[in-house]
Amino acid sequence: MKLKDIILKDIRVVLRDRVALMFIFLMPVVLITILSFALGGLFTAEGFSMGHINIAVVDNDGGQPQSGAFDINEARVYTVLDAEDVASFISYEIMEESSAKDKLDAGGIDAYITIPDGFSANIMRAMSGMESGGTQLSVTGSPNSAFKAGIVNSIVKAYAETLSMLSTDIKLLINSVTESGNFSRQTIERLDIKSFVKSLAQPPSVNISLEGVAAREPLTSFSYYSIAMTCMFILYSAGQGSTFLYTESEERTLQRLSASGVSGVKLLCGKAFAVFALCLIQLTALLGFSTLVFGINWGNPYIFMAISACAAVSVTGLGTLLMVIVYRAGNPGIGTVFQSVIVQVLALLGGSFLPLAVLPKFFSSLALFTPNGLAVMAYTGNVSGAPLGEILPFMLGSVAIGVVLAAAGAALFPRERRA
Amino acid sequence: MLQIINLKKYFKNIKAVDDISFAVEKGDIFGLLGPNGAGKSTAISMIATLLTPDGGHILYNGGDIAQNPRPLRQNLGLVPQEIALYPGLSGLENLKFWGRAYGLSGAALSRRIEYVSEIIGINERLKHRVKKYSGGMKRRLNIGAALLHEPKLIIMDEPTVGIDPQSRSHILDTVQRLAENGATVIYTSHYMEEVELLCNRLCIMDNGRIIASGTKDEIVKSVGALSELELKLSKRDERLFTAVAAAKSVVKATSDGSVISVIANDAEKASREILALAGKSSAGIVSFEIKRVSLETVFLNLTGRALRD
Repeated sequence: MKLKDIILKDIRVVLRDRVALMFIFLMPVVLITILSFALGGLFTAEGFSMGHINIAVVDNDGGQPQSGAFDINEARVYTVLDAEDVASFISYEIMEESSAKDKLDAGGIDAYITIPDGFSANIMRAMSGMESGGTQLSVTGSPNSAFKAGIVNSIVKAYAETLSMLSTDIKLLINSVTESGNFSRQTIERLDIKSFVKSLAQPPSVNISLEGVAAREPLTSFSYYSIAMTCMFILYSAGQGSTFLYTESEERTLQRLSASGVSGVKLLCGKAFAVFALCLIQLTALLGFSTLVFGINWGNPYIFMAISACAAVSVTGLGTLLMVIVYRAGNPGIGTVFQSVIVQVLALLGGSFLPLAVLPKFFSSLALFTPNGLAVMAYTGNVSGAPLGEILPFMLGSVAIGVVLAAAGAALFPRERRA
Repeated sequence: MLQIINLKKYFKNIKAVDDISFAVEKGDIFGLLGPNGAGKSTAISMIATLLTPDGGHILYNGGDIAQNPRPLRQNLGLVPQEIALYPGLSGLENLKFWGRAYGLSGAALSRRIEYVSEIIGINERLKHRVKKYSGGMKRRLNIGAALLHEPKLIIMDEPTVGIDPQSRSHILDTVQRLAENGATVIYTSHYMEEVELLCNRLCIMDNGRIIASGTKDEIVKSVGALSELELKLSKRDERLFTAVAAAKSVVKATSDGSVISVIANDAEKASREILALAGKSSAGIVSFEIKRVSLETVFLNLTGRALRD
C-alpha cells in the first residue's frame, strides 16, 4: 500500500464528515466575515487605528539660545509633536519626571519622553564640529500600552536619527565652505531646519507597530482577520487528525491493516501527511475565499505559498503528537479538549482574536511559540510587503515547531505498533 | 500448510491460550469451536501476526512466522470478528482501499472487486456508504475485503454473529465456495451447526485449552457411546421431568416446556426407563426420538455446560 492511499482515504473520510466540515470551512468563513465587519473600525485606511496616545515630556534640557544662523529650538522634539499629523493622534504635556512616572503607573499616560540635560547644547556642539557628549532621548512606555509606546518610540527614534543626519550635513557644509573660503551666511540661512524636522511627522501605519518599520502596505480588517481566523482554524486540522489513529483502532481497521502488512510507521506517516494535506486544503479554501470575496492581495505569491507550507508543517507536527497521545490514552476526549479549549488559548496568544500590537508585549513573545501566531506574523508580513528576510524567521519557526512536535509524536508511538 | 505448536498467550494471570497444538492442511475448512472467552480469538490473532505469542511456534509452509511473517501476511485473508470497514466510505471505496492494502491496483483490482462483490452478493449496493448497510451486508463486505488478493489461507473469526438468516446462509455458501476453489479456511464460531455443516476438521477449545480435535466422527467417538433422546409430551409434567433426570442411565436432562431432552450413555436402557416413567404420567406421549449425537452434546459432555452459556 502506498502512502497516498492512506492520505486520500483519511482526507475523504474527513471531507464527508459534516461536523468536521463545519469546523474546518464554515465556521472560519462566518467568523472572518463577522469580525472583519464588526472590528473594521479598529483599522483605518492607513492601517490599524491605535486610538489616541497620551504622553508626557520630561524636559530636563530647556533648549538653547539662538546662536548665529542656527536656532536649535526649531529642531526640538516639540516640532515633531506639534506637527498637525502627529498632533491628531498624540497629545503631550510637559511635567517633572516623578509626576510622569506616577501618571504612567496610574495609566494616565501611555509613555513619556525624557530630554536629558544638555541635549540641545550637545546638538549645537555637534553641528559646530565640536565633540558632543552623546546624550540621548529616551522613551519609557507602559507595559499595558506596548503598542502605543512602540509608536512613540518609533517617532522619537526617527526624529533622533534625522537630527543626527542634519547635524552631520551641517558640519560637512561648514567644513566644505570653510576649506573653499567661499563662506556665505545666506547659504546657511537657506537651511530650513524647522520644515525639515517637521516633514518627519507622518502618522504611523499598522506596519510600524507590527514590524517596527514604516512605509509598508497597511492591513485592513478583512486582510487581518482572514489571516488571523484562518491561522486559528487550521489548528482544527490538527484536532481532526488527533483521532485518526484512535478511530482506526476503534473500527478494528488498524488490526486489519497490520494483518495486511502495513507497518505502524507507514500508517503514522500516512496520517501525518493527511493532516498536512488537510491543512493545505483548508488554507487554500479559506484564503481563496478571502481573495474572491474581499479582494485581498496576499503579497508575494511564492512567499505566500512557502508560508502556507510552513504553517501546514507546524500543524502537522501538532496533529501527529495529538494523534499518538489520543491513541495511547484511548481517549478521543483529548482531541475534543484540544479543539474546544487549547485552540482558543492558542488563538488568543497567537493574535487570532486581537492584533498582537494592541496586546501587552509578552503576548508577542508567546506568539512565537504558537503555530498560529507564527503563521499570522508571516502572512501579515507578506501582505505588508516585508522582505523575505523578515518573514523567514517566522517560517523557520513554524517548521521547527512542526518537526519537534512530530518527533515527539513519533517517539511516543508504541514500539509494538511500529513493525 | 499451518502448524501450531505449543502456542501460549497470557494476559497477566489469565491463560488465554494455554499450550495448544494443531495442524491445518491445505484445502481444509478447519473449525475452531468454543464458547466466548475460550481463547479462539486470541489464537486467531496470534496466527494473523497481530499478537506476539508468549510461547510456542506458528509455522506457515514450514517457516516460523515469528522469524518472517511476510509469506503468511501476503497469503492471509483475515475476516475479523468485528466489522473492520470505514463506515464513511462506500462499499466500493472500501474494497478499493483494502485491495490496495494488499498491493492490488489498476485493472487487476477492478477485476477482483467485480469478482468478490459478486461472490458476496452486494453489487447493487456497492456505491452506497457502508454506514447505511444492514448488519448482514456489512458482514458480507467484511468478508469480501479479505478475499480481494486471492488469499490461500482465510481466517474467519465468528463471521455470522448477529446477522439475519438470509445473510448467514449466504456467508456459509460463500465459505463452501471458497473451499471448493482451493482456499484453506480456519473458521471460528460458537454456532455448532455452522461448524458441523462446514468443517471437515475441527478442534474444541475451552478455557484456553484444546479439549478435543479431529474430524467430527473422531471427536464424537472420543467421548464414548453417548446418545441423545427427546420425549415430546402433550403437556408439561414437572414431576416426570424430575423422575427422568434422576434415572440411573441419564447423564443429563433438560426441559423446554412439554419437551424433555436427555443425554444418556446407553440409549436402549435409557429408553426403557424413560418410557416406563412416561407411562405413569398424566401427560400423553406425542413422540419419542433417539437422535444422532451433535457436537453440542459432545461439548456439553466434555465441559459440563452448553456452548453458548
